[in-house]
Amino acid sequence: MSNTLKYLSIQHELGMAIGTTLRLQPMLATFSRIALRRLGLSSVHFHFLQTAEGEPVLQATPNADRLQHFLSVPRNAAPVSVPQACLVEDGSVVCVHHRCTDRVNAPHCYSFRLGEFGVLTLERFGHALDAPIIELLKPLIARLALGCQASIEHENLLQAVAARRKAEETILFQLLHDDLTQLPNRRQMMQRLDAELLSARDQQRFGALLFLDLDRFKMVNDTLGHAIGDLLLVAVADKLQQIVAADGMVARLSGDEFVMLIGGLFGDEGQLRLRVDALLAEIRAGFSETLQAGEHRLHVTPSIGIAIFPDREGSAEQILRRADTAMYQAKLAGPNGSMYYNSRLSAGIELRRQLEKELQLALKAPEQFELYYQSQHNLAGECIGAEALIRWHSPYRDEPSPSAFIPVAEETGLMLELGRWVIRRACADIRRLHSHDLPAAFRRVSINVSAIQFNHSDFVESLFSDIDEAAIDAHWIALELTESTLIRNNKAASAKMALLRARGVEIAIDDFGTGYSSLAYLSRLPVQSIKIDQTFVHDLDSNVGNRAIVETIIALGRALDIDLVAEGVETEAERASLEALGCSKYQGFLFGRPQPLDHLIAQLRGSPPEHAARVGSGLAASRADT
Amino acid sequence: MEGQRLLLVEGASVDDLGAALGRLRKEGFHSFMLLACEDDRWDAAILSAWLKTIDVPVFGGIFPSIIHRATCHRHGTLVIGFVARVEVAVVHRLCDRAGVEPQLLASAALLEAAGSLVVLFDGLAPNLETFVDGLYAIVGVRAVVVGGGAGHLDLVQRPCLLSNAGMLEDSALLVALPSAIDRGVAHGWQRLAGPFLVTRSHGNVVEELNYQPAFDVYRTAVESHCTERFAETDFFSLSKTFPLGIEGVDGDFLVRDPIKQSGDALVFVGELPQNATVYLLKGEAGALIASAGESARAACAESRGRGQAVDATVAMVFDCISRVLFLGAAFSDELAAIESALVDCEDIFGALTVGEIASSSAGVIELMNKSTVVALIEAPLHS
Repeated sequence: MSNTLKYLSIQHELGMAIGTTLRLQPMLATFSRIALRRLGLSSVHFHFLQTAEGEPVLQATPNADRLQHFLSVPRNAAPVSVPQACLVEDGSVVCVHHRCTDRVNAPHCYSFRLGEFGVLTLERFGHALDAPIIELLKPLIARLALGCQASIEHENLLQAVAARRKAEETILFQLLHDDLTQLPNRRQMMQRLDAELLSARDQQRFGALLFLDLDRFKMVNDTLGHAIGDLLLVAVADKLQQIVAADGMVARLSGDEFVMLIGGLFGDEGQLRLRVDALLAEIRAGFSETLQAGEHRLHVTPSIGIAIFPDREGSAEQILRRADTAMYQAKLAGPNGSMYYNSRLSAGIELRRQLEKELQLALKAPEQFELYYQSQHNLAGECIGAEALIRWHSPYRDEPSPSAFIPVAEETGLMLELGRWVIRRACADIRRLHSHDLPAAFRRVSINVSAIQFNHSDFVESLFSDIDEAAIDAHWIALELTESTLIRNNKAASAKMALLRARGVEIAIDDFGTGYSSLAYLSRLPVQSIKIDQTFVHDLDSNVGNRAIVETIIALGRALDIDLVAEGVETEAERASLEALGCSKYQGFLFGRPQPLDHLIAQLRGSPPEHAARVGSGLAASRADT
Repeated sequence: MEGQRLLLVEGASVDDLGAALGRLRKEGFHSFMLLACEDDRWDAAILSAWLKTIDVPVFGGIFPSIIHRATCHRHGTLVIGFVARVEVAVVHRLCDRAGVEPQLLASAALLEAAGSLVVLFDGLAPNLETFVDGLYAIVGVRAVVVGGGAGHLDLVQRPCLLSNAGMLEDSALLVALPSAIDRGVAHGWQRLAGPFLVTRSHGNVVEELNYQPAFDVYRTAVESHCTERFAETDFFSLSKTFPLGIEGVDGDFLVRDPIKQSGDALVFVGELPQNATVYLLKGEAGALIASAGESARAACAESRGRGQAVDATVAMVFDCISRVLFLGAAFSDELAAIESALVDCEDIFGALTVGEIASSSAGVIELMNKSTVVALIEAPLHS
């Protein structure tokens, strides 16, 4: 009776230790400590199927195919081996009594299967456990196995939850941070700016947003590769963080664009500007040193635009745009500059930005562009050629002037693509002109070529390709280049011009007289004609200054045996003055406005233009249209 | 012992202690165990302040009495010098059950490296089983652990441990000794009635035995074996004679001393787990005295079993204060029995304790009541 009660009490006490907690390790530790005391054990050991990371699992997998030690109490207990009989996968409780004969005093070991996933081993010095104790342990061990199973399932669930939480944290981090530099990204910066703006308005304090764009960063990517470019961006991010420290937030917007947000800490704008000026000085000093990017030490500078907030009712997006606008203006003024935003900056910049976007779209649908032709005439009034002038039938605005969009195209690099279209179109149009019976005097079509286009390494090659593709005579083409194009890269320009001349392409200097006024290059370059700029032609009959300039240009042309064409001729008086000075070729409203190719063809096949009727029409041509 | 490694300081002032320490330090001893008596009524502030000035390891406690050879002293302090600079780990706030194991783990490097540990603890602190279980989980069978509970006979908890941090309560000191220890443990209490099943308990408070109010069951069992009645006498003066014993798997008993009644519940020194089988135990002077001698002989046998010479050892004795209360004048016979079993030892010292702990034969560390622990410390203390 007494032994029965003793056994029952042991069974109950150990049973109470199962499932005290859902966590596997604490549950097993509690069970082990009670088992040690109640069963007079020296140690308790657990072996489980485990993942490579040591996490117990319930079923064998290729990565968890054998039992491994999981827990011993005490933790420094000598290891025990799991008997072979306990490895049978039938799930029933098996107890194997064995002796660790290689150990001092050869303790008794009792190993019990825990389901199909583990083994419990009890170790005892002295004499063996009574048989009834072993029997009473079996149902307990079965229950312990269920407890372990529940704990393992619970922990697997916890791990899944933890993994999901970690994944969510990662996603959240990625959502709010830039992947490359780990800085806050645009989203986070805008959230912070929203909050700062609200707070600044509430507390009537001032903050600032600095928009930084690295100068000539593209060159790093182009010359050293994007990997080095990325390293440089990381170094820039580190540098900016060091500079701003705890005073604000540094974020990367995209590419080489960063912002610094200085919160609304200042009670008046003057104090804030002092702080921003100091910050700008720190930035300049910081970027006066080279930055390490891989094995390269690179020097890079930022152009910085600053927008102070709160300013009227501007939203965070508007403040960012203002800082961007100011940065843009600062960059136009030269690298490593900075500029505070003011409202005057916005309008012009906004128009340019809009034009840029629309131009990008138009180049994908080039039917928006068309070439008009303005005829050129000789003394006899015969049409001797025409200048191709681009027209943009924009769906967004009413026939934007080339003087508005050509500079935008040049600044943004879109000119390359646009210029190539112009040449191809002009070649195709010349092909059409070839197919008509035109007057013998008509022998040239002038095409304006921008500096960026002409200086491009494959300009000549692509021009010749276009000429060949259109199957036209190269002598029909005259390229109009500005003085600056030739001056900027005189040696390379000379080589290209020689190639062009060899093929028969004529070179004309456009807008002559407005550029460098250093005419020495003219004698060294194969230039066939000069176009006298309209500014000198205007009021030539009454303006003594213009007359003197035109006289000089004409004298120079004669001396160098260079042909002369006056552009912007609007009145008979101007034409007569030009004739009197020795200029015999004209272009301007007096002879005809720019017109579609079909109209030009009709004009050429019909009577000469009634130029007298157009004189004094009062229509001002754009610079590019004269 | 060689030289003056153990001093019995009769004066109860820090000056006296300081002089003794100074003397031992001059002789080359670098660590000190202090076993003091509660009847010397130490001023905690003064003693604490003095302890904090000591720049070598010091550990000890205030006990109801101290033992030197076969004599029990109610006054005086034993100062035991160690040549080695021992390391002492402290576990604070035993009342915070969850905080015990982390503190032990923080000292795991020291504890795992130790071959033997002397543990002095506040005998009236709660969660002592948690403490010894946690200690065993770290040291296992590789360290022999002995120790006793400091405290006062009035069973009121107050600072009772001595350390370099001053006097401590609700704490335990773990001293890693450089010497090996052999131990013997016995209590001599015998089965009187039972078994009883602990059907409701919380730690050291038993609310029900056999599904009945614990006090009622206990009172009925005790009063059926004696003429005294709980209603007519102080609880502890009667219960000290009738402890309960938790029956182990091999039929041995772990004695639990009921120290007070709390309504229908009984309060013990040490836990009685729910579902444990317990018996009412009785004490007989002869059996208790014999068991004390047996604990000393067991320690000697263990020492000889390992090929050690007992005469090269000193004996440390932790004997439960309640045995004195039970044996009265016959307690001197118990000390004599211990001494006679340890005739080959160089010296014997120890204390009457409020609870004892020792590594059991199976290995686990047990918290005991009404028991005698004899520890033989091999080789000279300074070796």
